[in-house]
Amino acid sequence: MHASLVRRQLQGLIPPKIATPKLVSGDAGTGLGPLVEFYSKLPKGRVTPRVSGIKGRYFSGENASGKPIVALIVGLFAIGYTLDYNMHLKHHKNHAH
Amino acid sequence: MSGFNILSPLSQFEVSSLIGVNAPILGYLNITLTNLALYSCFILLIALGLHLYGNNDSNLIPNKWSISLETSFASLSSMVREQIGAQSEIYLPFIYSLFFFILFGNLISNVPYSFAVTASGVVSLGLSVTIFIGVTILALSIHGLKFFSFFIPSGTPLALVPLLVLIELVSYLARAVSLGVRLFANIVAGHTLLKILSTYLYKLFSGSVLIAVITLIPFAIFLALIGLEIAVSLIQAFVFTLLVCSYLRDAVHLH
Repeated sequence: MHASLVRRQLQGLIPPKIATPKLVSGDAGTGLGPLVEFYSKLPKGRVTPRVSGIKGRYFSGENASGKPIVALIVGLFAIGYTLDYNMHLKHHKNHAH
Repeated sequence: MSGFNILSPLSQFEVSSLIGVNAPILGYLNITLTNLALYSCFILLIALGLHLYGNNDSNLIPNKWSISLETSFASLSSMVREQIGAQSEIYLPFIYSLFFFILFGNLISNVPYSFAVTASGVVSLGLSVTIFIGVTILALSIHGLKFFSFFIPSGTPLALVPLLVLIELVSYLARAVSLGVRLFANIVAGHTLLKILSTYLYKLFSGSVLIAVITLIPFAIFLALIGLEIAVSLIQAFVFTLLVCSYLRDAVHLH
C-alpha cells in the first residue's frame, strides 16, 4: 500500500499539533498570549441572576420566593374586604341599625 | 342594644350580584357578575398564573416553584396510572385541572372576607353530577349494553338479580350526589365554625384587657382550627379527584 494513503487513513486517529511542549514553554510562554488575554477579559465573581419582570424577580432560579403568595393573600383580602364593606353599605341603605 | 346585631354565619355563602346589566334583548336578558363568578375567575387566573410563572422554561436546574409543580404533576400522574390504569393517561389533563380548580377554590376561601366557591351547592354538586353523567356516557360508549352488567355482581343467584340490580343502581346513582355533598359539606361546616368562633372571639377581645389576655388561650385553638381548615382544603381536593379516578376506572374497566 502507498505510504501517503496510509498516512491519510491514520489522519483521523492522530490528534492535531496545538500545544506541543515547545510551543507552550518556549520563549516565556509567547504561545499562551492570546489564551491569557481571552480569559482575563471574562467577567469575574459569581453569576448574577438575570432579573426582568415578575417572573425574573420572584419565580426563576434562585429568586424563587414565597412573596407572590403573600401578595396574593393580601390582594384577596383587600378585594374581599372592599366587596364586603360595599355590601354592608348597600344593606344599610334600606335598613337602619 | 340597638347596635348589636350578628349576621347569620351562613350569610358568607350567599351569592350576591356585584354588577349586572338588565337588557330587553332576547326577551329579558340579565347578565350579572356575582361574587361566585368573580372568585371562579380568580381561581382561573391563579391556576394560569402559577403554571405560567412557575414554569421553568426548560432549564436544567429546577427552582422551588417548578419543583412544587413537578411534584404535584408526578403525584397526580401516578394516581391516574394506579387508579385507572397505565394505558389511561388520556384522563390526566382532566384530573389535573379538576384538582387545581378545587384546590385553589378551597384555599382562597380561607382568606378572610373571601368567598368559598366550593361551598356553593351549584358548584360542587354541579361538578359531581356533570362528572357522573360524563362517566356514564363514557362507560356506555366503551362497553355498549355490556355496561349494565355492572349492576349485577358476579356469581349472583338469578332469584336475587332484581333486588341486587335495584340496590346497585341506587348506589351507582348516589355517587352523583355523595361526591358533591362531601366537598360542599366539609367546606361549609369548616367556614361556618370559623365564622361563629371568630364572632365570639371578637366580642371577647373587645371587652376588658384582662379578658382579652385570657382570650388568647381560645384564640390559639382557633389558630389551630385555621390550620385544620387549610389541611381540609388540600384533603378534600385530593379526595374528590381520587374518587373521580375510581369512577373513571369503573367506567373504563367495569368492576
